[in-house]
This record gives sequence, C-alpha cells and structure tokens, in this order.
Amino acid sequence: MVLILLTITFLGCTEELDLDLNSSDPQVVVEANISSSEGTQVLLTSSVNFDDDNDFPVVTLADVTIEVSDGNTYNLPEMSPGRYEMESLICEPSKSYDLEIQTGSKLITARCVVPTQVPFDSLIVEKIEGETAGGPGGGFGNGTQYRIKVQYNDPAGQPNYYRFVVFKNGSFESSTIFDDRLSDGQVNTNTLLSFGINLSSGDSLEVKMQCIDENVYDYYNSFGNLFGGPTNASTPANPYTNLNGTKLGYFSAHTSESKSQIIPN
Amino acid sequence: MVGLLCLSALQAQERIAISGSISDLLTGETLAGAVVYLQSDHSTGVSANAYGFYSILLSAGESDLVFRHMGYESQTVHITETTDITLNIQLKPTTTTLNTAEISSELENENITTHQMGAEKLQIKEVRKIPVLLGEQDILKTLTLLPGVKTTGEGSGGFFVRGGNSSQNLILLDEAVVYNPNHLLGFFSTFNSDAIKDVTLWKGTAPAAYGGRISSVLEVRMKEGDLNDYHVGGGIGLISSRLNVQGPIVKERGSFILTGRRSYADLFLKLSSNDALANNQLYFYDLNAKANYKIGKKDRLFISGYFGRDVIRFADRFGIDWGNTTGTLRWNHIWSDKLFSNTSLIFSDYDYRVEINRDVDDFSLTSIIRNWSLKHDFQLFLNNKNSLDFGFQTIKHTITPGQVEVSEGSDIVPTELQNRYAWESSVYVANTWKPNKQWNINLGLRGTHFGLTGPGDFYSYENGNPIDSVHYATGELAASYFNIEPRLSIAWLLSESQSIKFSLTRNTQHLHLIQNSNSSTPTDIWIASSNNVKPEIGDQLSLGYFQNFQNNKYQFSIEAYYRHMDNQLDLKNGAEIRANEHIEGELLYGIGRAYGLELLLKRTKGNFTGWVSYTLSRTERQIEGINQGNWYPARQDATHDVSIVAIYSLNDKWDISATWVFNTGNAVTFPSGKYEINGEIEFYYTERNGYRMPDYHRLDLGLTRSFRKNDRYESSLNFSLYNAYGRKNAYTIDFEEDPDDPTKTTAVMTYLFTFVPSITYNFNF
Repeated sequence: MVLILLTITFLGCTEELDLDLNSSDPQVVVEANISSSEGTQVLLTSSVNFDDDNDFPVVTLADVTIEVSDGNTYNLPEMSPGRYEMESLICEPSKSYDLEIQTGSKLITARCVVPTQVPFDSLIVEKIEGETAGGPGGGFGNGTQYRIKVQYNDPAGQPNYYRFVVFKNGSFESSTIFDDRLSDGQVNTNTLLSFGINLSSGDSLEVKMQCIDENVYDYYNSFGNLFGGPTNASTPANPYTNLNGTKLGYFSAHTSESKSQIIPN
Repeated sequence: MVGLLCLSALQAQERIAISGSISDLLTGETLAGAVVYLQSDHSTGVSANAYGFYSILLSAGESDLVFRHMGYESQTVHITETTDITLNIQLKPTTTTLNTAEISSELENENITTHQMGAEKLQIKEVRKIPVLLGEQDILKTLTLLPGVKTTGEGSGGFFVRGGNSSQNLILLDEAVVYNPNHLLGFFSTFNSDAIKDVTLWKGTAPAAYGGRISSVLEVRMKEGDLNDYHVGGGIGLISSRLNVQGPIVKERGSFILTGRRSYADLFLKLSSNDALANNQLYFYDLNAKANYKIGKKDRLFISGYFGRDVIRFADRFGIDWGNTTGTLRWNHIWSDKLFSNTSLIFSDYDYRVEINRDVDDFSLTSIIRNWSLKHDFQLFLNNKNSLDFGFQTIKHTITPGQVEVSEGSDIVPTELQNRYAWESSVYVANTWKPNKQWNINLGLRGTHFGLTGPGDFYSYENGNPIDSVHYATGELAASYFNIEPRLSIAWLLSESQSIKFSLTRNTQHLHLIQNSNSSTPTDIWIASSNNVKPEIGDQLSLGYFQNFQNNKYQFSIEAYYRHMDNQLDLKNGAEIRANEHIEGELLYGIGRAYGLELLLKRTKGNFTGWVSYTLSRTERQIEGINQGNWYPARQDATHDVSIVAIYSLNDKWDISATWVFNTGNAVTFPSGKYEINGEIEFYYTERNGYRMPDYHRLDLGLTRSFRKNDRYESSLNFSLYNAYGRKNAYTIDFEEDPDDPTKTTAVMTYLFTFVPSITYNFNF
C-alpha cells in the first residue's frame, strides 16, 4: 500500500476518465447503532447508480424494531424521513440485540452482542515538534500538526475490539479500529492518525471510544482493507456485513465513552 | 537399471559411442543444447545436456559428425574410429562482439523436430538490443513479449503464463527456487543480465525432472566464467549500474564469475526539496557468484550463489526490506560414455522484514520461507533412438510465517507464529524415444510425496473459525499427499519443416502464495499444503502445428491449450494475513480454467530479425463465496495480446530495434452504484472483475552503437525510448468525488510512464 503510494507520488500523473458503468438495482443501506450513552439510531437510505448525483433517497415508512435479550421489544418511531430513533434505548454489556426492519416486502435482520466495556484511560494530544509530518506526499496544509494517542488497559484472555472516532469542532474527522490480537492484556497506547492532524488553538477535539463486537470490527476492517486502497491492486468488494437481507451497512451495539480537549495556545 | 546398462552394452558391440562435452573455444563456457548429428543423415542426432555433455552412437566406420550451436560456427569432424571415444569439441563464436542478431534454435529446424512444445528459450545475447524501461535489460520483460506470457502492466510484479498466477511459476536460478523474482515492485527482475547465460520457459509442459508449480517452469542458468582469460565488464545506466569480473582459477580447469548490480533511484530523492522525501531510501542490489572446477576428466564441481535485497524506508518511520538468497553446489560425473549424472545440494531463502517506528516503541514483523534440497539426476543415452532421464529430489521446507518483535516497554506482545515444516520428495523417470524420422515421443512420470510435519498445533476450521486443534510432535506427519504426475509429449514430423505436436501434462503444487491483491507485493505469504489446504493440481492439454519457411528463415507456430486447475485459493474479503495464526481460516477454495490460442511468427536470419506474437485467451475462476459462486474472469485474463519485436542491424556499428505491445485491459472490479454511510460516500459492487481496464499499448524504440577498439576492449552505447508515442496507460482507476462538482462522483485514472528516454553504456575487456 505504502509502496504503491510512493510509486504514484513519484511517477504518477492523473486524468479524468469517462467510464461506462452498469446500472444497479437500488439496495437498502442500513446504518444502525445502539450505544451505551447515546441511545438508538437507525438510518435507512438507498443506493443509487454511479453516474447519478450524490443524492441518496431515504427509506421511509419502514417498520423498525429492536428486541433485547431481556425480552423487551421496542418499536422505533421515524423521527425524520428515513431516521428511526429512540434516545432512551441504551445498550448494556453482554446483552444481545436483534434488529428487524420491514420495508415493503423486504425483511432485514441482524443480531449484535454488546461486548464488555473497557475504560478509556486517557487521551493524549501532542504537538509534533520539528519534523514535518513524514510520509508520502509531504505537505499537510498550514496550522500545527498534532498527534492523538489513546490509552486503555486491554483485559487479558479474551478478544477485544475497539473503534475510536475523532471529531474536530463537532464534525467527524476520522475513525480507527484496533483489535488485541498482538496486544492482549497490555496497557495499549495507540496513535490514531499516523501522520497527525492539523489543529489550531481553540479547536475542540473529541474522541469517542467504542467497544465493538467482532462482526462490527470485521465490517470496519474490511472497509479499511478495501476502501481507497491501491485500487488496481486489491480487488474491491462490498465490505463484510452482519445484516441479513441486504448487502450494505451494519448494525452495531457498542459501549461508548468520550473524552474532549480544547487545544491550548 | 543394471539390466538397462547391460542392454546398452550389448548394442554397443556393433556400434561405437562418441561422447564428450561441447564448449566455447574462447571462454570454455559449456554449450547446453548444442547439437551433434551425422552429416549424411540429419535425423541421427542428439543434443548436449544442460552441462554440455553429449553421447551419440554411430556405426563403426567412417562418418562425418556436425557440431552446431546458435551463434557459433559449426564444426565437422571426420570419424574413423572403431571403438568408443571421448571427443571434446570447442566451437568458435561467429562474432565476439555483443552483437548477434541471430535468433535461432540450435539445429535450424529444431523447433520442428523436438517433442517439446510450449517451450521458449532465450539466450541472453539475443535480448540485448530489445528496448526496455530505463535501459535495464531484463530477461523477464523479454519473456512477456512471447505468446502466452503476460504481465499486468507496469509496477505489478510477476508474469502470468497461460492463465496461471505469478505464484504458480517455478522460477529456478541454477536449480534453486527464487520465491520473489522482483525488484522495486516489479519494475526490474532479480536476474542481472550480466550473470545469466540462458533462460528456458516451459509453459506448463515441462519435462518430468521439474515439478512443484502448476503454471510454468522458468529455468535461469548463470554463466560459468571464462576458463582462459580474465575479463571485466559492466554497464552504467541512469537508474543502476553493473560490474562483473570473470576469469580462470586454474587455466582450462576452473573458472569464476562475480557480478554485482545496484540501483540508485533514491539518489534522486535527495534532490527533492521536500525534506520528508529526501530522508527516504529506495534501492536494490544483487550479487551473483559462481565458480567451477574440473577434477580429472569425469568430474566437475560447480558452486553458485545469489544474494539480493530491496530496501525501502520512509523518514525513520516505516521501512521494509526483502530479498532472496540462493546457493547451489553441483557435482557432474560422467559414469560412462552413456551415463551422466548431476548431484546438487541446493539452498534457497526468501524473507521480508517490515519495521514500524512509532513514537512509543519500535515494532517489526519478519517472515521467512527457506528450503534445503538434495537432487540427483541421471541421463542415460541408451542409443540414438532412446534416452532415459531419471532421478529424485527431496526438499525440506521451513516456513516462518510471522515473527513480531518489539522494543522494550511496548504494548504489543512479541508474537511468534509456529514454524511449519514439510518434506517434499519426488522421483521421476522419462524416456525420449525417436522410433523413426517421423516421431519423437517423450513419456515421463513423476511421483511426489508431500508431508507436513510437526512440531506444531494444527487446526481445523468451520466457517473460518477454529473448531479443533491437534498437536503433532517433531517429525510426525500432520498431513500427507501423494500425487502421480504423467507427462507426455509427442511430435509428428510431416516433413523436415513441418510438424504437429501434442502434449498432456499434470503438475501439482504444495506451496501456495497468499496475496492480499492480485499483483505480487513483497509481503505476500507462502503457506504449505495442510489438513485444510489441498495441493493445487493443474492439468494441461495442448496441440500445436509448427512450420518453417524459406530454409528455416521463418518459423511459424500455432498452439492451442486447455488447462484445468484444482484447489485454487483466494482470500475472504477483508482477511487478515499478517501474523495470523488462523490464516487457513481466511481462505476460500475453488477451481480455475484457462484456454487459448497462441500464434508466433519469427524471422531468425539476416539483418532483420524479430517476431510477431498473438495470443487469444480466457482465464476464469470459480470460487465458493465469490461472485455468488459463478465463473468470473481472473484479473490477468486478457482476450487479445499482441507483441511485435523488430531488430535491424544497419552495419556492425549500428542496430535499431522496436517493440510494440497491445493487450486487452485486465479484468477489474468497478462500482456499479454508490451509497452514503457514516457521512461518507462509498461504492457498491455487484460482480467480481466484471469490467475491463482500458486497452494497454505501447511502442518502445532502441538504438545501439557498438565500439570496438581492439580484440580485447569492446563497448556499446544503448539509447532507448520507452512509450515512444506517449500512450497514457492506466495504472490505477480510482473513483472519487468530482473536484468540480461535489454532487457528482467521477473516475480518475493514474498513469505512470510516457516518453521515458534512457541511455546505458556497456563495456567489456
């Protein structure tokens, strides 16, 4: 991957290309989250053809229910078109959650088990001194480069999966996933963006730590491996999904803990 | 065996055996494949083996024997002997300069008479004038100009033979396996042309002596070194330079050759104004060494080795280096005028190391594949109609899949995956039989046993999850496979200049390359056949028609092939292959098929030489879990593939050359739709490899000026222009937000080389 980036950096030139791509049947796209702190949101949209505008129709009037392993079933109301939410429904570790979506004749189901919550010990934000951010391409714009690190103590003897989401001034910046395949039972200090992030004083930075289940990790991981990569080299495919009844999207029931910092002068 | 020897001894009473070695008059280098035949009857003839040894039976009495080899003056010897004799022949090169515009087989119509088909042979001096990228002569790049052999374009290493993957080619350098033949992502190969004598590629139809890969065998042989005189040679190019030294150890008895090469592309990085770039490293080097010594008249020892390394490093943050190491110790022994043997002890190793320097710690991942092998080959020249090849080989494989090392205080746990050990043993026997002038038949049989042994824990999987594990102790068999591989090839000569050939071949493969992508990268992982992974099996059927025109000036061939491949592997989407103990749980299994038609027209004599090749082919895979289990084209599937190579010698100073290639774009997966998730636009894919990259075509031009001051010193200047009409060949196609209109998405093509001129100076004294 890095090798290919390097090659392109040195030798590559780019040009827009007119390709004749096939049309595809619209697929229902499910973005379903139950968090331990932010309640439940299910967003239903539809895929469009590649040549169409980036205008993704929402799926309205669907019947969305969540069944919890304690026996309770909740019907999610459609709060705005395509958006089915229940702020009061928060998830708890080791309970399982069954999602069922009925839209027209289409039935989509998924199950997710909430993993053990691992505490978010600390968020470390460091100014990158001296060096310009290394790596191909070099320049990363103006402003000061910061490195974001997170620290947590991985519980030994069980597989754990983590997702960290970075927000800058309230808007999504990036997300990074980790497993404990090579760091089981250790105090982990992980850098979130290897080439740093551009921040100015006064910027607010929020990092959310989610403990996710294996299927959800696989979803994000297959995205990471497929998306954007050296397109010509790896064979792109739709990411793994834990949904039955559609190919696109995911259902994640996860714990969530957040830490924030304001960048000082 | 003893019986056979007695039989041949009986026959020898009426006939006499002439045997010996054929070598170059000036350098003493042996001439593999040189031919010997009776002047009065061209069909009574044999060719020298890989070590220049020949044995021919003649009726006692007077006769004239002709010795021939490409690029050499043929020599006729009058025989009056009545008993067996040893006759060592030294042939004089037709020209001692680098320039031989002749491209021909040893016997002018050998392409017609040999039973071999799907075989391509290149002498290193033939390829010198073919224009190449950045002036670095490359035998692998030249091979891809032949029918049935292709690359997937610039910057993707490896070559593909008749629809096989790059990992299904057995690449041998002096009999040692080269696991990764690429430098710098495939822009260059590991074969330094200064060190190489010749190259043979069998497109799935190799003799029984070879085995272990299902697609092809590429045999690269290193030069032996001049037995008579010392020489220094080399070349200075824009991106790399070469130097070689050769000469006698003891005149006419032993010689050596040492060659080295290093690239200096990273020196250009230093010129970069960007500090981050200037601190990067990017280079490769390789060394080849070989020595040989004749002990008495019947024994000769050879020792040869290769060491090469690529290094890439990003400003102290990330580094990767990889390379091959091989070593071969060989002993040739002439048992009698009919029985020749070679015994080899072979070592080969490929390893890579990835280093990541984080703020808190340093972390590295190392992976190694290594083998030791003992090989014993016999050649028995029974009579002029029959020869037998037989022998055995045993290989000990050791695979270190991944070792994670960390600096002190790191949160990463140092991990060492269990090594895998395996023994691969084979025996083979093959008979070449020429019953009469019309037929030339080779029937071979190879039996291979592969045993995966402990120590180690071996898992079984269900839906990719380990469900059971068994521990095996050292030497205990954890998995065992035995396969019989028949090899049959038949040539039917319709006339001196026309033949029809047929071949049927089975090959098995026990080492499998796990690739995250379809192009090879240095960090691809080799795994062995196991309780989960079954051996790959390739069966190939081919039929060809060969004809020469105008006194063998033109050679024409048409070959059709069909190949079926069993137990093909692919990875699940998003599979983790680095340091993963359960990598076998990430695999998908299926089958493959490839078929095609290959046409080749060569002009082999005169000032104007070259060839036109055309391949029409199809390569497909069917793997459970991919493309809903339907057949889909493999990435390297190219419907049309054309190469034209032309070399024109104006006079003894100037040569001009041109190559033109065209192929249908690779099969590729493009999105058919898009959607939004987590605030980002992503693409929706409906089928695997359902689209095509744009067609690839390119013209390269070359000009060589040769200088010759005296008998000793010679040099040449080579100018080349790569991609002479500046075709923008797509390297990658990415899909992204339209920079001019954020409501749209667009396809963006990246292309690498348009108009790359280069100059290389070569010398030899």
